[in-house]
Amino acid sequence: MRWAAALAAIAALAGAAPAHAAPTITMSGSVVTRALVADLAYFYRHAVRDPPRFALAGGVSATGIADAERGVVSAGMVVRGPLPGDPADLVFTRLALSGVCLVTNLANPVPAMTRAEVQDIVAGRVTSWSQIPGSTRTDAIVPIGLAPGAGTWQVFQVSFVDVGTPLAYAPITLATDLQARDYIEQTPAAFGYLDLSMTGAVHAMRYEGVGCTRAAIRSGAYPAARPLGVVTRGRPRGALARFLRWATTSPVARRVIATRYLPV
Amino acid sequence: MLRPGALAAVLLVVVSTAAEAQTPRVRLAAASDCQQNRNCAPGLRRVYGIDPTASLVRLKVADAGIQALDDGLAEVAVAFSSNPQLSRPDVLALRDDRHMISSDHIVPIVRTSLLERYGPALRRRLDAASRLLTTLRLRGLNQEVIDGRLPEAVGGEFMDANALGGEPAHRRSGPRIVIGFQSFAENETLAHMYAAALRGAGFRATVRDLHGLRPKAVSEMRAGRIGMWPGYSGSLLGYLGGTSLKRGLARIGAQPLALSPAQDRNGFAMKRDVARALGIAKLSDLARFWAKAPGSRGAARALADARQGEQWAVGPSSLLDLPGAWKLSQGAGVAVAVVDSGTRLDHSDLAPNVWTNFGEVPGNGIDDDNNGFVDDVHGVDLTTIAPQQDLSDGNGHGTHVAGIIAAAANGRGVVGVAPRAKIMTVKVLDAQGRGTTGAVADGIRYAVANGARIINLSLKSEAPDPRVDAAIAEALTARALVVVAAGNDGTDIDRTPSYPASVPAPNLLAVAATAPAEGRGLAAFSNYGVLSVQLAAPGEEILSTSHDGGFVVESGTSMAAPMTSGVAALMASANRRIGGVELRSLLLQSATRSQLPVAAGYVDALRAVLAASTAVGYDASQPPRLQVLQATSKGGRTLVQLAALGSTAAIRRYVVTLDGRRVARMAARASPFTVALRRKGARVGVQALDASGRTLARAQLRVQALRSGKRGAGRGGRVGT
Repeated sequence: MRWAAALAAIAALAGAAPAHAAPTITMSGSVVTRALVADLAYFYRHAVRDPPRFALAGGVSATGIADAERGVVSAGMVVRGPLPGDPADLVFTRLALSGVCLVTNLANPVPAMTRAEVQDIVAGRVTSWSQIPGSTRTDAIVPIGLAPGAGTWQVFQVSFVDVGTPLAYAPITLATDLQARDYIEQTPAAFGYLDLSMTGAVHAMRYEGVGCTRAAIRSGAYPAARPLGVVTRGRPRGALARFLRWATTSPVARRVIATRYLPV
Repeated sequence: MLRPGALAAVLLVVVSTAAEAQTPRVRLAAASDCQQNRNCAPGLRRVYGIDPTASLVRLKVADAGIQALDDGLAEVAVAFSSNPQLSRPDVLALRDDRHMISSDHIVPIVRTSLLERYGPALRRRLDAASRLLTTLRLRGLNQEVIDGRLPEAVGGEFMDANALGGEPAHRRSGPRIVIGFQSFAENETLAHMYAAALRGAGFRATVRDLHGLRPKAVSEMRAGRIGMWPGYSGSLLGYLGGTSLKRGLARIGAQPLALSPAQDRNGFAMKRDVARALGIAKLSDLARFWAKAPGSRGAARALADARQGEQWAVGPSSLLDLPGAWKLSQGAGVAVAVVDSGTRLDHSDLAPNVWTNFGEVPGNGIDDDNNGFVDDVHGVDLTTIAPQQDLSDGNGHGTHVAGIIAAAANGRGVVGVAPRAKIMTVKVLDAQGRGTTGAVADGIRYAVANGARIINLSLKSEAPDPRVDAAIAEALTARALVVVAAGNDGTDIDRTPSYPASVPAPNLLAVAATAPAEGRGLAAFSNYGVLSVQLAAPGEEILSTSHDGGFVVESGTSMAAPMTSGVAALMASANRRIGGVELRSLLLQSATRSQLPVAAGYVDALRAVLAASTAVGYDASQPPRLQVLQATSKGGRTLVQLAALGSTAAIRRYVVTLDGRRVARMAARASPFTVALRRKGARVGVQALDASGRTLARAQLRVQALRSGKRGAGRGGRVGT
């Protein structure tokens, strides 16, 4: 019965297209990955004959996984790899690799930070740039953060903040990486974290001596890497499998991915 | 919008400006070119006789004005009209009452030799693309890029969705058309949009970055290195000089084509509460402040009903975060169906917000609007197959749920989450709180057919019923959101499903209950499930309206679901274009993360409404599709309910046929909509046509004889609260 309901729902999500219409690939989950999948879908439709329809809904990685597992959608969109608590029958397909960089305004090119310095800022023990080696500024640090639950926020929390570090600082909280990037670009005393793809107009510093670069992320040397991908219950099949094969092998897809991320 | 280094941030924190209270000012946030821009300081001096120089807060990033308002750095900001942030309900664009600001339409600037080479076909194609672009649609395209999409895909998809892109029937011979774009995202999107339109008509087109702004575009056109770029009519004329854009462009060997309706012009914006407090609605009002002394900054009046202090869930310390959301939306114009035990319609806190079916004449015993129900003026009673409607609430559950959603902010009693939303009563439970799944399915269908955008189900069935699942799927097609209580057994419904909470559907949300005082902990009775329960909201010790006319405290996930329905109503009111799938997505992605065993976290009203106010659903960028939701006939009349899905920008009219014969033709309108035909037939068809009469989408359905809408009453499995 649940399967019947799921199939009916998916058909309706596609606008209940007539029987001869193209199949519909439905996905939900992380909005970061949704933007990438939506772009890939656009180019895929231009690359193949009789392309499928796409119905992409937002959410977060966890809800994408839940929807995929329950058959609400064909695939869930995620910005993380598999975790121990995830349903056992999920199959992860990686589309791209990215990383989260610690950043400052271009006018304040702090060369590097250590793990201890990041803990000091997050715990509120360090509040002025004069306390940070390599900074040319002496004014207050303006911390910038992403909304809790955002993929970048999660990576920051997991990769840069120790479990025992009290969250005493009060960052200005923005909704998206793009907004955070623009804010940091505008604010000389800003300190924040951004996806690698967003660091063009800001200064990305080394962390624990490792640069936040494509090479370091690809090699695994940089600690805050994250995959963008989709999850399916079991191996992808049919139209979804064909799309994912194209997305992971086609030169066009690699070009689209490389505009912001590292192709896998 | 999205001009060089553009900034379009939504701040989720409010920066205090209390220190300014002693010397209040009305400051203007603008880029440094304001002092030279005729639509800024020079224009204000010349047309309004006011000089903002002393009050100017200079921005490094051109389009950072709205953020400066959010930050409390200024009271007035220059903002481009294509900035999606201007669609926020808390932002007011000041009226230019003396017509200072020149128009600045998007306009393709094309090399004259190309127009001569390709003839009118090139002009027609670009004009067709320009016609589709309104300022609101341009804001939508900009929002997609802000959300992380590639301008190339966003621009191309807009053309695909409106039947101007895709693969051409034939390719034209001739030189490649090189389209340049100025180095900011909006212009890049527009360049790709025009390129996709040209490719769709068989032209060869490539797009390249000019690595500069307007002067670079002009010099590249003059040098013959580009064949076209998307210009801005007013600012380009200002740059070229003179009074005619056509003559100015002739000097560089180019011509302007037809102006798009879309504009990216300078404007002046304020936060609505600040504008209201200062009494500013138009630019001339600024003379009071900039000519003499500064004004003062005020705050919006908070909603304050008599017993509001006893409503922990709507208080400032609750994770639900309602007080901030109310400054953005109060649910006006949204109907929420309460599928429950009825409603005390004359309750002083509910009467102002009772939904009314104006197609029905009260008490005449006739189904005036031919919807299958007699006298369904404020809703429908599905606890009986009797034709009349008794919406009274013999149980109290429905009245309590209705108050949580939409008790009026009238200074009395309690306040609902969406105090200006309308309650559609769909009675499926009797005085003992018992009903059937057949009635619930019919109730969902009734709600959908009569315009409810949100359907609240604070109930639980003993077993799944495919009729309910099918009705939820129909609600999906009609773009309605279904919000369901997770259940009160204290169990994991991933392991032991609870229906309809466990129905897997992309427009369904199951909600767990949290306990006072902040709503951080899960209520002991609440069901949960990291896969099947998406959200948690306040559900314990909830004060709301009682069916005896007073107020009563109740607990249950039955209370948590309407909290979420109310927030969805706030969102739907803030953005009329988003449907059930998008509402669900936005509620999930804006939820506050928690350690609770639910998929997303705590409902956060402020974040959800902010996200909704500028959201663009993915479906809106897809080609249009039509669906006949239902077609019924009675006597010599046929009633057809239609839904247009995907992008409807290019749809200019609909044509309806009965048995292949054209019987109605109407202009494009908001979806879904109902067409009443004075004929009968066996099969209804509908086509959506563009401006040239081309069919963009079609659908058909067999017409069925109208039967009583209460067929499901008394059938199916048992349902209760």
